[in-house]
Amino acid sequence: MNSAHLSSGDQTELRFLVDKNADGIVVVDEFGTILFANPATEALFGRTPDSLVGSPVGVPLFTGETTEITIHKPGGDQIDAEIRVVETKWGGKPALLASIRDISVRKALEEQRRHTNKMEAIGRLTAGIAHDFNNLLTVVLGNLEYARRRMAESSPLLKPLENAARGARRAATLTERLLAFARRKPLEPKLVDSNALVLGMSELLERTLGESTKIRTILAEDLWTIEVDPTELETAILNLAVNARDAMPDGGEVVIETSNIELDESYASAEMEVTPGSYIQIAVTDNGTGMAPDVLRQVFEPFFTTKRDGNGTGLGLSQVYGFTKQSGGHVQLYSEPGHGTTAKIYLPKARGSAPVQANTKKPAENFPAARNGETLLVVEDDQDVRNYAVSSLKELGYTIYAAGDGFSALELLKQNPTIQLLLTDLGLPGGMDGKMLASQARQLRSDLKVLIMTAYAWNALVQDGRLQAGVDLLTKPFSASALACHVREILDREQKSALPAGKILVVDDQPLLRTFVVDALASAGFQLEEAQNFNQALARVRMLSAELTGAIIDIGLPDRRGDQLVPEIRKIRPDLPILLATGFGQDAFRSQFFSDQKLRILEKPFSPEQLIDELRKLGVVK
Amino acid sequence: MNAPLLRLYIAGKSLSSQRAEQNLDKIRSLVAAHFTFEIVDVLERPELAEKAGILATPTLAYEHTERPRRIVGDISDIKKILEFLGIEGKEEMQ
Repeated sequence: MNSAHLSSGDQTELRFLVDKNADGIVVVDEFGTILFANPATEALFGRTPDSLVGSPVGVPLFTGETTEITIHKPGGDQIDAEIRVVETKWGGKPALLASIRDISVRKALEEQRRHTNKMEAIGRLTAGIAHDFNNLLTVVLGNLEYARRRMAESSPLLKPLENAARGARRAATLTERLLAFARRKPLEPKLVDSNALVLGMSELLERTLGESTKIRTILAEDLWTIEVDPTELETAILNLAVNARDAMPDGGEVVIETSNIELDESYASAEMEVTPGSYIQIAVTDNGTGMAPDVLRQVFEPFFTTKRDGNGTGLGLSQVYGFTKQSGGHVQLYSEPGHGTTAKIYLPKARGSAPVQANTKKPAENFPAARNGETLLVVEDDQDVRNYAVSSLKELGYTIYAAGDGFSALELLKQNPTIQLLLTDLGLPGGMDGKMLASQARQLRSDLKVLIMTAYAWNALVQDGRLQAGVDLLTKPFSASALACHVREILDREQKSALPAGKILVVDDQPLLRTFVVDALASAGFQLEEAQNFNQALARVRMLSAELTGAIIDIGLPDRRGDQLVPEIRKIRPDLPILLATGFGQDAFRSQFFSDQKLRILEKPFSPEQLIDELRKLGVVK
Repeated sequence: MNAPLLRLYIAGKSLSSQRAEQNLDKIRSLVAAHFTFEIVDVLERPELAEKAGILATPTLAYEHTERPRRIVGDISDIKKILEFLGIEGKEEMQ
């Protein structure tokens, strides 16, 4: 700005430009004292331009075109700014002109983008590990169970084998959680009334959080329906509630609040990866210890935990993060050390659905209903849970007997031979738990089917080896549809399976996995054909054609993908039952083969029992 | 007589603060014998920053009784900075 060379008209224009410039412009002398500051500097420095003149800001000496500084306003606020410097003269003396631009917003977006990229990268890594681990666990678990079955009950090797299987099953649970974080867990979205879901969890929450933590719910009227996997949503809310409790070691209050919310363009542009639109918000708030910003930045990463050893897996918030993202929503955390934390889950409103009316219970159209005269016994000591199970099942047309403990349940079983299925809680009062009840009931009635409900004690059931044959598990919390489907499936299951004549083709390039499947099916009495790749498999189908009664195909084949084999097989055998085995990305295949009635997706890891069960669902096993 | 003081004002662990600290280390390695060095985190000691009238960070202040000087930015142009402060670098400086 060498004013000596400018006419007075030019100077006026120049002055106008400097005054109206959105960037702050200061001129400093060779000792770093401010000689001039334009009006825009007021917003940057929080001081009037007049008061800035004479202040020793310092000489901007740096390499490169720009550098970043932090401006400290009076009162402690900060602004990230970028400065750019040119040499000039002021009053005939050498001076520096610095233009200063507020880049706080840009920096925040950059930081968000960096964080998103990092989470993406961790997600990809996690998914990859979990996928490969699933394959290996399938082999490990399958072979352990195979060996276990061939072992005499008195063998000293039985215990170590069972311990190994238990370890492998835990590993499978871990990979499932990792997949949840990596947004690769297969979801079963359903229309969900979140208010009802939150209310339905109150018993579970109270029990989980303990007496020192109070739970309060504030539920919006006319809350929009969402379409998500209800089980995962419950898990997410439970995870947030448990974190809330753990943030309040001396007890306190957890508030769960639901509301409708419209996220507009401005919100969406400030938050990466958010699509504007209608959402419901579920907020879980505590008045606990809160989190510092550096902790907050990391909490969604898998295995990050601030809880003491053994108290946390570091996967709770990872599940919340993965689930909300996979469901088209997102999660936000607001926390202040010493005051508390609010976690907000945003989930998109279901398309084209009206809000669910709270009190008009529709007959559950999509749930599998009872057939004529099917009779169940529900055993649960908690009245609310019992009422919930009884009323949901009655609605589906089942005849229901109910009991609050094991002994009265046994009485009912003796008096009512029509009872086909026993649905019991694992934890029962009076010295007889659900497991003991199940085994005594089976002594009375060997054909009785049993479904045990449990929230926590998986290990108590499998501790002495596998689940008893004919006993199934329903994990709490469960939705009404999960209950309906489970009950229907068990009732439909035939105890004795009749094997059809014919061969099953097993297509997998990994020898270990292929051998496991072949062994499992051979020991169940099947005849088998094997293929290692796409072309070999297709050749086998052409050659055997009508001899085949089913095919089990791995997605990952060396020459072409397994799912591409399906249309080729369909040209030859339109009705051949096919199991497509995959470690992740089930959702994509589900929709790809949605209309194919003779194809099912088999998720890894799977046990021989699950394998045969899937074949049964396809009608390969009667 | 005490060695003159070079005091760097920074703000926490921000990127520019970290860069300035690294550059200060370089300067220190060149002229350590003749100066004492001090780092002030204005987030921890806001009263010091206010007393010194620090408007922005990072700022390097040369607390010289006769000619106190200040440099704002990440102090990356070490050669110019030493010149500006009237400090002769050792022979490593080109």
